[in-house]
Amino acid sequence: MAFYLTTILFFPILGAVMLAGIPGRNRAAIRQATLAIAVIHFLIALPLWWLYAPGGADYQFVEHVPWIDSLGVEYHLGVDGVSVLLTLLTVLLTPLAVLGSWRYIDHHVKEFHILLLVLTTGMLGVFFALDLFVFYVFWELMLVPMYFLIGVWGGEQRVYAAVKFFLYTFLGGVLMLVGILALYFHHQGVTGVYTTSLADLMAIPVPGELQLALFLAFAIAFAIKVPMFPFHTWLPDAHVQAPAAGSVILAAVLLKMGTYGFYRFAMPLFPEAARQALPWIAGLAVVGVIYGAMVALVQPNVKKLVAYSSVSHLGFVMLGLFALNVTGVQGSVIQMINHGISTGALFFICGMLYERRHTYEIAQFGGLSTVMPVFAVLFMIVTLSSIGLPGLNGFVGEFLILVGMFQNHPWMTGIATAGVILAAYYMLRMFQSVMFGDVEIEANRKLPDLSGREVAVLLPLVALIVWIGVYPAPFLSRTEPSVDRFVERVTRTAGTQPAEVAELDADEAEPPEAVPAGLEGRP
Amino acid sequence: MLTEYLPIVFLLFVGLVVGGVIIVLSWRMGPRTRALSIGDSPYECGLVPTGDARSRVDVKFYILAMLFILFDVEIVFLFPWAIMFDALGTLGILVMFEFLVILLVGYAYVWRKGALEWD
Amino acid sequence: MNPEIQELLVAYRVVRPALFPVLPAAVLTLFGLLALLVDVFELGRTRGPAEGETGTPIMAPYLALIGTALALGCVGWQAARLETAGGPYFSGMVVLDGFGVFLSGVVLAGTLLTLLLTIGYCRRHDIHLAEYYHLILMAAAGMLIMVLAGNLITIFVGLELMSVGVYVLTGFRRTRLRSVEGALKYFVLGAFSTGFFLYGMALVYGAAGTFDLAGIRDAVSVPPASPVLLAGVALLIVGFGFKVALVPFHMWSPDVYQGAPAPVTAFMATGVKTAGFAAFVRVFMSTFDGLADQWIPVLWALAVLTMVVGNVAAIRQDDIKRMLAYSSIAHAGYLLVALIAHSDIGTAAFLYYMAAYTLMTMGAFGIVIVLGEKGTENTSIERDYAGIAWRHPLLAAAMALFMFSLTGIPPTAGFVGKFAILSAAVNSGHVPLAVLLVLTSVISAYYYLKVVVSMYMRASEREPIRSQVPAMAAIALLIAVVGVLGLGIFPGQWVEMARASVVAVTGLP
Repeated sequence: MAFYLTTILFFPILGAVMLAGIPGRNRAAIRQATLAIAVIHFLIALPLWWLYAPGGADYQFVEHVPWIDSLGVEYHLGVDGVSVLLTLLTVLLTPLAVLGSWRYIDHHVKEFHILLLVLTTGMLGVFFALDLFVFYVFWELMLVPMYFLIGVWGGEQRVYAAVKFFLYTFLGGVLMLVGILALYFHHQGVTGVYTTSLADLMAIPVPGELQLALFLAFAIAFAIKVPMFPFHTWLPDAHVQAPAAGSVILAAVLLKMGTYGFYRFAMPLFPEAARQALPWIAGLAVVGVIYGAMVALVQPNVKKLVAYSSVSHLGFVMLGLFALNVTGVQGSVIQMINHGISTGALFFICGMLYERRHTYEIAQFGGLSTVMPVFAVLFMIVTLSSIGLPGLNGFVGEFLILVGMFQNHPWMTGIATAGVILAAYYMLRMFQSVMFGDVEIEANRKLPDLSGREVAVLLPLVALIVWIGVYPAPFLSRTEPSVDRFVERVTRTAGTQPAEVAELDADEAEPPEAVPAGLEGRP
Repeated sequence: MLTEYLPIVFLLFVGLVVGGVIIVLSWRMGPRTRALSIGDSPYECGLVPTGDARSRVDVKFYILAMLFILFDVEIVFLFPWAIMFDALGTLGILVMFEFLVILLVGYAYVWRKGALEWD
Repeated sequence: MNPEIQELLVAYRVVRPALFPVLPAAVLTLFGLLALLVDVFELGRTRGPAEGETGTPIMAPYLALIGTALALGCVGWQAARLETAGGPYFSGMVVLDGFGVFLSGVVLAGTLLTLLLTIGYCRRHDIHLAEYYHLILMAAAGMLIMVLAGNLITIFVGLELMSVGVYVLTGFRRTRLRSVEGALKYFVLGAFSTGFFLYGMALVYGAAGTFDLAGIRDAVSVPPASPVLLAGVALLIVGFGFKVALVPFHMWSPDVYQGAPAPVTAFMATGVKTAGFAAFVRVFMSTFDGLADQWIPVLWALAVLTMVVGNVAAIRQDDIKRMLAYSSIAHAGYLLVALIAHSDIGTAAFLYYMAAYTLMTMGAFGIVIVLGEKGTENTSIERDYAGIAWRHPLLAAAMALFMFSLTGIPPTAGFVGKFAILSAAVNSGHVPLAVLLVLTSVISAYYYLKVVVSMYMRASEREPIRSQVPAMAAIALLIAVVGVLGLGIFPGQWVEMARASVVAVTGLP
């Protein structure tokens, strides 16, 4: 399977080039062609689910081609269990996004779809990269199409939102770039070799002070993307202004870049610094959980409510990662997927509401369940999934995270649990005011129920919601070995470094930190 | 090292002294009549100036003066070559020839643009 | 054989290798003179519509193009023969090294793109003088001399040859007030900076007793440095600072960039800056290498000022030429960081960035040029660029690419360039400077995005720009687009070339 990942990675670009050949006036053809490309892309990527061997090598389908020899940069791709799941999520959402914006996007249709495909490549590149340079290239590359999606096809404040999104993410990105370079030269100083390969950079010890600074440089970039509490302000703007498909991709995949960045780069590269920063980051995550939920509580706008619920949910994901045990991290990974599915579906639902009424105000709706019964059922399932009702996917993730976190930080866990309760409150209240009660506004009386296309958008997501909720084992088993390795790497103390590495670092090595008490007690 | 420059300083000094002495002498010994306004005129040569001194001069004068200086200065480069003629030999001739060709191009340009025509 | 002929042959054998380093400049001069002569004898020139009216030069632009292309070929030849190139040339007045040849290529590429863009522009704006092409070639020849200079005098001669041409070019649209204002400002301040430069040269001569760069290096290598020498170095920094527009010596550049005809602005932003920086880097990296402890703090402060002021001031600009002027000030700051790194990696980064910068700036100005209409250049970002994405999708896409490249977003040349400079800074321990560089890049993203926002996200409120892209300009834009993407996606061999060019940064014995 040589170049399997490259095929997956660049297939959308190929599609975008083909799309460019279709005249812009022929909108139907463009939509159909994009859908076909996205579905084929999904089918190409789907075999990853079976071909990936969880028990096998650390990274699979590895591709290793020299790129910029003089800088030691290599085109180095590979996937582990977590990236496989995120990849599949991405390729699943792209065709759905095309379907979901079938009517929503009514101007510059061709450009929209081209950008959507380019965006897919950017996102997949981030999940595949095993070289920091390659990673950074895709990280920034992904910014550009998203910026256009928000800025050109967004709501009234789209330009403000787009520029804010771009500047926030770019700011984080460039600081990370300096961090990457510092690490690059540190590696060169220790070994004499210039390289940006993740594995090589992970192999060398980084002295404490430098490690903390570098961890911060990476963490800020990822924290902005997650977004964690003080860096989250771009998110509501971007979400509310973005077109439905943009919001979906943004919530479902782009936000995962942040948490994935922590999982793949920031924490394994700088394990000691990660442990030092743990109380702070976990604390901010808890603040994010509660803060997001509280703000969501008072939102009169459906889309904003969902956006703030994202802040809250991703706080959970961060908590799970920093639980630093297999249970918590597993929960975190599953929760990344869950959030992609449920929040993605919620944003699709927002889009469907908007297409019908051209507003997101909760007060403008009410009693829709009688008018749109099919919609009501699907919306209900998605809402319950977002709340974390047992039997649906949200429960699995949140439960694992809370269990994992409780072993190490019971207090924080206790506070974070309040977020779950608040989530139930604001989601159900929103659902209630939109769907139940009497139809009070005349315009709502004749709203059409979901079309076949719209059902087709939501159905796969709802199916996944139920599947993960009832039988998460196939997902968990695929990620477990990778998560094991991650936890092993991050919790490993300086004292247990391989001998020759420890020797290089002899004068700077820190005294081994005590392993947190709960770590041995893996369930 | 700086002693080489002593003659210059000396010359400077002599110049200053001579100039100063002349001014002081003419001031002390000259007649003190400043009644006539003709003494304040720009050209104290007996003729009464007519018109404003700040009149316009035709731009052609400037062009001509500029061209004169340009070609004059460039011709000056021929002198060092002429002095070193034997030492430079054929190579010198070639280089000077090239220099003159460039000069000629400039001349042709000036001529064709009509800068040499008076009317 | 006839003794005269034999003597000529001997002379030829002496001249031929001696001319090798200045061959591109000589070709440029030759074709520049030809263009002038052909036109002045009314060959290759259309007749005016009525008696006494001037026509359009036909042959001069193509002569200029051919000359530049040939010169570029000569540079390629030089690059191929670099290993065996001897020296010293012209008693050390000219050096032929990888550094110089690389930058010669950059300068000539910029000139070629300028010429390609300029032809349609001149038709559209009724500039019918062949002198225009002549001056561009002569200025380019001056740049090449600066790039290869091995002596302060040669640098000065090149500097003046370049500057005088560009002064005149700036004022070429002499019926426009801004053009004349720009030319006057540029000339007065340029002459002023020349004064600084000469004074600096004189003081350095006083301290070292020679103008030869290698000679000065040997003379000043013994510490402690005399105050006269340091004063001379400081004045040279001021002189170079003016030419490459470092803050606080940048005051002229926005007005001049705005006033000059757009192709000339492009030429200034790329060629003049390349040549100025080439001499700057050569003098400081080789000649004043031993004084690095003294000049690095000074340049450090200048770089900080330049990056901050350039980027912050650009935010407020609505005129795209003015915005690009401030942006080019900011980029001068980035280039200065490469110099401050004071290492081979830094110099290689400088070379790479110069090439990338030339391509992307040329591209951006190229779009500005082709969007002009008869009599007006359409330079308001808010008004003229609004909504052009849907009227001229390819032009807008190219412009967006150049803007992203100037910001430093992968996969463009600008990103790899910035990466290289950041590498150099971090490697030399200038982490604060690197952080400042990236922070100011974020500021720059704002104003570059403003152009993209206007093109893609605002509706046009003026009557549509009617503009066909001349074939030549299309070629130039294509070169720029391919270059920006090529240097960005496959930077390997270019980085390699830049690294290899540094091996003997000086070529000085």
